Amino acid sequence: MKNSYLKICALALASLAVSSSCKKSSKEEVEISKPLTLVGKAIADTLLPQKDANGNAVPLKGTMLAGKTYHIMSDVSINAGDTLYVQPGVKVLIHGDGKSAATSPTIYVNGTFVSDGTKAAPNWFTVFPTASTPKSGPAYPDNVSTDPAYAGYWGGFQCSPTAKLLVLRWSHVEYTGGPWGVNAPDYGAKAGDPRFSVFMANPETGPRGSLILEDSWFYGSKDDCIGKCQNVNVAIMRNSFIKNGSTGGEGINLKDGCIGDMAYNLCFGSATNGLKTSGDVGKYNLVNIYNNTVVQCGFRQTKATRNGSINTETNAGGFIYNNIIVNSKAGLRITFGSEKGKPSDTLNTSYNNNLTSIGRGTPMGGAEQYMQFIEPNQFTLKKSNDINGYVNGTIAVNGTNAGTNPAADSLKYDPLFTNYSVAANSTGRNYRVAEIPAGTNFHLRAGSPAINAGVYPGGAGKNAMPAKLSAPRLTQYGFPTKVITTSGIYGATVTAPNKDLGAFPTDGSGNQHAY
Amino acid sequence: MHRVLLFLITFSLLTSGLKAQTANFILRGRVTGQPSHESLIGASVYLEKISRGGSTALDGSYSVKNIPAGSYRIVCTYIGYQTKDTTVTINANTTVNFDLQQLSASLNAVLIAGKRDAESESNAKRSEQMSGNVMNIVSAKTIQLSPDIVVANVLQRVSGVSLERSSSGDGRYAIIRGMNQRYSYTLVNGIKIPTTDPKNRYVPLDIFPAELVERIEVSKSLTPNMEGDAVGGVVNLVMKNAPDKLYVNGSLSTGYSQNLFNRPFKSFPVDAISKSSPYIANGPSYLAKPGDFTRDNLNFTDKKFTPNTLASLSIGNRFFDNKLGIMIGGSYQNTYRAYNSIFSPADPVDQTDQDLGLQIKHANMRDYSAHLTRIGLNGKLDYRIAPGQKISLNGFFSRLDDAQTRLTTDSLQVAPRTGAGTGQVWYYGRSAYQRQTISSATLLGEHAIIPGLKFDWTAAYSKAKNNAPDLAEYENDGGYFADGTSPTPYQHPLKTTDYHRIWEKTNDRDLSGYANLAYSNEIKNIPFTVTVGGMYRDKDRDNSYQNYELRTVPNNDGTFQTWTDIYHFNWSVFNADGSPENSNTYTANENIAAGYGMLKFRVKKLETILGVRMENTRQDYITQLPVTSAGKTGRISYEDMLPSLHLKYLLNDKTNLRLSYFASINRPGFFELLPSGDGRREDDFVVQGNPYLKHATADNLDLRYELFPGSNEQILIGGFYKKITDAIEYGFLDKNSTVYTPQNFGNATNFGFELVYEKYIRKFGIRANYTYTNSAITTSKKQTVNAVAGTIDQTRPLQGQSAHVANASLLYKDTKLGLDLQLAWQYTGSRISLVSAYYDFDEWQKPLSMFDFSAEKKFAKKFAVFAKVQNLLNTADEFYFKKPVVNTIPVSYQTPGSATTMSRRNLYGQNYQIGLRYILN
Repeated sequence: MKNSYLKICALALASLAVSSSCKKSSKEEVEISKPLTLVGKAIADTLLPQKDANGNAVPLKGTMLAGKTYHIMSDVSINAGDTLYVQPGVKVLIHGDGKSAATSPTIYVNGTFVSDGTKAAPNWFTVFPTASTPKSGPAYPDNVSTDPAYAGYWGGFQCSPTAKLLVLRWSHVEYTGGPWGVNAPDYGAKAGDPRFSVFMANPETGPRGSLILEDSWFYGSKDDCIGKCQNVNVAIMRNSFIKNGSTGGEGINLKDGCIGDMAYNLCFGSATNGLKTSGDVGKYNLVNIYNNTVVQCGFRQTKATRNGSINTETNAGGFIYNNIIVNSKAGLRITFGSEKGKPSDTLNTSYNNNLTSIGRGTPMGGAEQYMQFIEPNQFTLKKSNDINGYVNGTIAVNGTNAGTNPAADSLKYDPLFTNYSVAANSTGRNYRVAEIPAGTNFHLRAGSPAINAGVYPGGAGKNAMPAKLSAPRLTQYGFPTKVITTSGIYGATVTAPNKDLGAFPTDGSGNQHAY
Repeated sequence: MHRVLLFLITFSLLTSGLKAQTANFILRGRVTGQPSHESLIGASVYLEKISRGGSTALDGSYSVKNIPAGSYRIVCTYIGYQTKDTTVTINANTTVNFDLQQLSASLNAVLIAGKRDAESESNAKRSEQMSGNVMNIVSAKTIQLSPDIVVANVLQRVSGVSLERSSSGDGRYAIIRGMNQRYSYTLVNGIKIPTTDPKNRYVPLDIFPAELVERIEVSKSLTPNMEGDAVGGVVNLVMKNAPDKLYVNGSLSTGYSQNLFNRPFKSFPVDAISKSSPYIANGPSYLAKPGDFTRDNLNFTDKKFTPNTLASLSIGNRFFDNKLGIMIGGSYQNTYRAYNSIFSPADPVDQTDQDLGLQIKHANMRDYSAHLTRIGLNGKLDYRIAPGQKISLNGFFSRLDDAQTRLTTDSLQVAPRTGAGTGQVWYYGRSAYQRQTISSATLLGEHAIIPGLKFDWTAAYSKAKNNAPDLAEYENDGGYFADGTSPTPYQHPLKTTDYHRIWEKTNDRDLSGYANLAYSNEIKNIPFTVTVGGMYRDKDRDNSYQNYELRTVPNNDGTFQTWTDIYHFNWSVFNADGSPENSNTYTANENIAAGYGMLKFRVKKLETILGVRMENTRQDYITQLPVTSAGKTGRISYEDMLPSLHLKYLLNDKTNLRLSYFASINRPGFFELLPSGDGRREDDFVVQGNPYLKHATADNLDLRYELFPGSNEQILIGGFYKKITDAIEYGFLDKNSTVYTPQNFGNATNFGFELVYEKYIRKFGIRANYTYTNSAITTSKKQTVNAVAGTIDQTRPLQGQSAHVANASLLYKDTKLGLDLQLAWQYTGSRISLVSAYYDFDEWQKPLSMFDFSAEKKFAKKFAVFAKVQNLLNTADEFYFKKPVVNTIPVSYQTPGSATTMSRRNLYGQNYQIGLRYILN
């Protein structure tokens, strides 16, 4: 008995050991109901805008309904104090040709706009394609003059100073830009100026609005995509910015008074920088830039002295960590001075743990462009946990450093993306390609130097979350910042820094897009 | 009106035995004019018997030598005065003085009707003395003899007047008593005229050729019969009036600009410019194509020999028993100028533990070539229907064509610059063409109804046009610097850059009517005049503005386009529909209705003008902004009651004491009321309006002591105090430092004093004046320490106001030889040229000291040769900031270690002119 008892016990233990060794629980299916967002006032008409008796466009207010396809024929607007809510699975087709302001309809937001797409049911804001207004695609890898991505078929989302909230969640925003028209002064612009895909600027004093861009795709813009926003709280998380700016312009360009985070974004083929922050004289900008992946940016900007990946200037500060920059014109720049830029707020800047890899560090001469790890004679240094080939130089009295970029370090520091070859994509003129090649995957392969190279909550040593007690604003706002509302439809979902670098960490969090 | 009709010849005979042994004697003396007994210059004294004589020098003195003893009939003549003769026996050196009586009746207190001698300097001085208010007058003779060829430059010789110069160095606007040009208005023949300046209300004075002007009157105080919107003063250009007998004055001259001896004139073909924008030419729905924009006007070629041509002719006469008087005149000036300018705008940067530092990013060297063509026409016709009944018709036309080339080299002073000779460099080529036209027709009537009661009326139609088609400036950049391609600096190929082209057109039209009724009489020996009157003006403006952004097209392989010349530049049109509906395309209207009552009387030696004026202003505008935009239309109206009191005390016949008070206003111009501007960047900021701008009101006090110690000497001492409520000054909007807009900056005070001294000793004369002005306004400025912005109050002088303004002229006149020489010096003290939004960042203009010279020699009685040299010493016109640069790399054109920073430096070069004049009467 005792023996058999022991045998049974042993068997049980063995089977327990076996079963535990090959234990596998199925992924937990969690379905907790979200509160039902009831439709206030449905927008039933799909041909917008409607006109009043005087021929003026009737502003939009209420809910755009899931499953519907709306056609925007000319400018639409949302009044101050009103809300337009777009349910998941709405398709908005804009009929525009980008030839003039009048024929490039725009969505003017004076109140609140929420496009609440989901992964399963994203929303679309794109051109109504015709023979004369075709869409872009792989047929236009590097064709600045002819690529429809830069045609600016429609005017994007333009927020006036009274706009309080703009949320674009799981939304496709495509083919935006073009010149400003009649109402430019209401938005601080002038007729003939370029429009950005998304523009939001609140007054310097008064309540601040929020700009929340999550899990969305911004494909094709004539100039800056997220352009020159001022005095708003921002959460720009897990988006893809592709083909932004024809011969100039940034993926994201945040100006003075912006506070928040830009993280887990992919920027591919931006004309100038993928991500840029800049305050103004006496006006700061504090936006943390982390876990972004910036690839092949900076090559369509024809002006010298502009950077080409991530750039901070003129009183901008923030935590800049865990980013991957590949095959771009130059790596991170903390600006001392350039034609446009004045010194960054170095006191309130903390940066480290960024990876920069370039395929062509050797001078190419002629019209071919070059790549640098870091532009010398600016503030930027190679920090202790940075992964790049820059060699710090002596630091001048004004804080700049005259370092060097050894050409021999080309092709080193490869982050080993799952499907992207640093070498292949830098040869010939491939580095200029702005359309993501099909099948490209920016997740990290095993052995990538980017794995476990990041700072993250709970990390220790080189992975410890940074703190800079001497920097009042970094201490005040934190990393990530804590200024934006972070719950519900009208709030942001902020993803903290990851132990891996880049927008596509190995744990599958971060950017959810596939190309 | 006081009428003194005395006939007087004063002569004294003095004998001297000293030269009794010689057979020949000297006749000398002085010729003066009644009633002020001022010296008459150039009067003729003629001894019939020996057919010889002399003419009077600057102090009115004459002398005739080698006269044998005997009895002589001496004839003294002077234009505008009754000829006098007397018979004198000469048997020793003798002195004979003449005091001539004027042909016409004495002058009206405010506006002097045209007289044959009205062009003379002495008459001008007399008018000043007789005037009811504080006034300075420059006569045509002074203008003719001055080194100046445009009206504005003449004005700077008037006490308390300094100039705001155009980029070519010519004066453009008058700054009276340190008050910005906005505080003055300009009249032509007493009628307010519209401006060609789309942004401002004031009239550019460099459009008027000096030769057509009979007289320039600068009034520094306002009587109730004058329009009330001047705080600094009023400039009245009186065009040449019909003479009493045949008058011919013509001149032909040529000249050269010193700078054009040193470098060629860069010219572009004006006729290659499209006078209408694609939008205007093809209609609103037209989408412009790259080929719609011309290229020839951006191709600059050298012009080797560019002499100036200046010609003028005025002819006048009187017909039908002197009932009909006609004067017509024309002036043509075709001039070439070349000058260069350094321009380095300030860029504020944050610093640790101290206020913003001044950084220079761009150091520009600009070479200008300007071709100016001025045409002026003047016609005046008066007809005396009956005694006391006169109808006049005046017309004038003035046109200035300005074709300007500007070639700029701009060196970036920050990274990638590492030291002198390195860095990014831009090259710009700008062609700007502007045609400004002012024309006006006026019908006037003067009627004596019953004795003592006079009625006069004026109906005027004026038009001002400004057409500035296709302002275009290409840009390309290269430079010598290191980058990732090469760690050592290398020459970068020139890249083409985006640029824009702008068409702007402004039309202003004024319709005005004036009527005045004056009654003069005497109660208990107190002479008085009561005047009532009114005026109405309807002013219309339409402005159109188009801007096209042209973008460089990358090469097919995506690489940047290199620059060779304008013909190989491939661009696309970014906004093919232009800027169709903008706030700078607008129509506007202004109606001014005014009425006044004025009483003038004299009790013994005290003359008083007392009265009040009511002005009702209605302004409205309609822009092409959409109905959903704020400020698409605007309507503003207000009414002002403007009292004034002018006292003139005749201490004795040589001394006047004046005290005056007047209330006045300053209205915003049309552009200043627009909700937004054209967005065009001038240098490094945009200028735009402010619909909430209020009109300014002012209280003005003047005290002036005038002494005429001798007929050859004049001393004026004056003081003034002004308080301006809601003063309008341009400043930067708080939002950022790139929008420059008019704002009400609170209250300003402005006080000072002026001195005028004139003295003539025989052939030499000196004229000098000096004005001290102290103005103060306190505004809130931005101050930033450690990147935290705050504000701080800063008290500063008004924009454009110099503490010290001085003029001096040295004159030499030999009437016998017919030689006139004049050396003129003009000094404008330090002043603020640009008000910054930032504390201590105002741009100042350095004191400017300029010398001009002119000479004229008569020959063969009716002819004269003349020469003028402007800017004798090629004085640099410099602007600076009162802060050192913080750049760590030495900055181009700056003096290392200097406590100030040079912002602009203009070198205009000398201008020479030589010519021939024909004068009949």
